[in-house]
Amino acid sequence: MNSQKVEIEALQILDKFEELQELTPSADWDQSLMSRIIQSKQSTRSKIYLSSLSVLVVLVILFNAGFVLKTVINSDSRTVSHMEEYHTLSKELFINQIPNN
Amino acid sequence: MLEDSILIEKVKAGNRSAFNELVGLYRNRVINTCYKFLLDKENAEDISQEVFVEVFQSIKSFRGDSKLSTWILRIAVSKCLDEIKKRKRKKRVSSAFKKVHLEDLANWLAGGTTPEKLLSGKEDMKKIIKAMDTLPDNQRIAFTLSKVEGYTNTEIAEIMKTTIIAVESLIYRAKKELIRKLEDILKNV
Repeated sequence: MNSQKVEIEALQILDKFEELQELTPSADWDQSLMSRIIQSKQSTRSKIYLSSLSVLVVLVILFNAGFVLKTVINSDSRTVSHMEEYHTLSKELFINQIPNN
Repeated sequence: MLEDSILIEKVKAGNRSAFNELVGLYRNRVINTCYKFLLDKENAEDISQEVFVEVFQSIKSFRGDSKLSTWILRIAVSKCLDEIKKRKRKKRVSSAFKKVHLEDLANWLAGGTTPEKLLSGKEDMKKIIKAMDTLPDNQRIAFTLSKVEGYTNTEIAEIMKTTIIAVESLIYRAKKELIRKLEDILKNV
């Protein structure tokens, strides 16, 4: 194909694009739009519900963690020696002789 | 017909008939804008509906800095560009034109056009899409909008947030580049 022919054909293709006929929306376009809007409303509602539910869950977890932390801090942590443990165990198991070392 | 500001307030207040009026006012323009960008009827209808869903959802955030029409058409352009990017990713451009729509077939049966003409038309559109895909976004937007009925360069400049001179230059460069690209495509056929 020579270059002049190619140029003319390119211009013709471009003309076709420029002269594209206007589109008339299909008969069910409005109805379809309305159902999409209703769907979007519902999904917005469920998003709000889900986000408030997740906030609630996070709050419960935080409250629970705080409670556990508080209990741990407040509980008296006293160290028990090995001898004391032996004594307690021996008493429970009715053993009279306990090693001295 | 309601004035824009009154219409906006009514839509913001959730007035359904006001929203229907807004859709009626801009429907054809939005659909045809999408059609020129996407060159596929079904796709254009689908995206134009997405545009109005977005309008419905975000009308409350519309502050009136620009005209209502400019705001709506900006949404339309942005949705179309997103769709084009999706298409490019999925490489669906060619497959979208492989199917012969029923209405085209009906048109042919009614004697409107021959299948050869129909196919050649689709082939030409494929070439246009291929050439368009090589354009930078701003050239593509300016050129495409300039080919949709009813758009003035002033309005295109408002939509693109640029000057009229810049729009004219973008259209000129886009046309030049499209012709060059189409010539390349035709030479390689």
